[in-house]
Amino acid sequence: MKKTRSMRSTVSMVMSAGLYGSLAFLASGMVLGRLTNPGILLSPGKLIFAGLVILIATPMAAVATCLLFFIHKGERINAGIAAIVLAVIAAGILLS
Amino acid sequence: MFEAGVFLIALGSGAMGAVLGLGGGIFLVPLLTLLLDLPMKTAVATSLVAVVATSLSASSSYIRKGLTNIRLGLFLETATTSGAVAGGFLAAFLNEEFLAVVFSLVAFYTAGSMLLGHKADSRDWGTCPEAKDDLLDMAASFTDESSGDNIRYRPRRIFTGSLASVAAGAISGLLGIGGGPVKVSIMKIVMGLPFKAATATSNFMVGITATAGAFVYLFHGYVREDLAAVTVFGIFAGAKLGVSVACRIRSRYLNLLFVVVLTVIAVRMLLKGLGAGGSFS
Repeated sequence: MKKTRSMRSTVSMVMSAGLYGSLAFLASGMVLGRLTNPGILLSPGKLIFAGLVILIATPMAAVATCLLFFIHKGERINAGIAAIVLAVIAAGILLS
Repeated sequence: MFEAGVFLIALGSGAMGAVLGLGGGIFLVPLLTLLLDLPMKTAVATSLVAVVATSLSASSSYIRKGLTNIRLGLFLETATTSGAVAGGFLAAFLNEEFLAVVFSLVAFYTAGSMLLGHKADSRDWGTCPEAKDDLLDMAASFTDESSGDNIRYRPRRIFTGSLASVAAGAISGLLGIGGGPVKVSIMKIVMGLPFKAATATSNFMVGITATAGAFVYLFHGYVREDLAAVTVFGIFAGAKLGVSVACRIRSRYLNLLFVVVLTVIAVRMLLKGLGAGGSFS
């Protein structure tokens, strides 16, 4: 039960970090987009795009965290399952 | 004004999605296209990004509270995604209208089963045997905040549930509908999960399912960035609101709300299948 709690808190933390990180990028992009003379280095569109990439990549990071956890704890079957999920997502992106 | 409309639509979709274990796309796509007159592809692309946001926002809370069964979610996800890939290949050979009618009949049956079967909730799941044959370590427990009870359960008929998930993934892929309603129904009816555990686990799964599609739409330029950003903020706020409501509300009422939503989806699919609700494209 303790190892499950540890995985739960780690995965939850990864998800929250990804979500709040992406929200920070999106908010920065939206605020810069409202300014009349936005900086040349910080394009609002690029900031929003980066925020969206971070957001969409976060579920994969959560699955990868589970995979590392399962490997560390010697749960070979669950590690294989997590690896299959990641492989299917990667294949879906690459083959489209 | 337009942005405020998008935000409010996303807020409502996020709240409903988090409460019922759905991505929210089932509400978001029709509202964006019908109320704001957005092109279908833009609405679908925005919806996929929103589904990921709903999932992350709700799941981070549900996982921390112990409602999500991560191992079960990942196990079923392999079946659902495989089914979705198979559905993509089968799409060329099968009649979508016929499938829509079949799906709607299954959805009506599921709604009826959930409506009649909700009384079995706490009685069946109050205790669970020691998991000697639980190879995947899927037995779990959580505290129901509405009643204060500690609920222990062990998913049953895992492989039947997995097979049903393959079919569900294929149907979802073929008909372009979200997998949330199907996932929750399978976990509750076939695998015997408590409703709150089923919706929380479904929330975790729909984000993973939507990731691949969302990336494809994003890199092909179908995501309107300004629109997606406002949607994500609306969904985030709505999902947080939904989680706090879902944890306090009794499973029985969540179940009834789910049955209503499932019935609406079933009617919509039936109308589409009979050619009265627009085409699938």
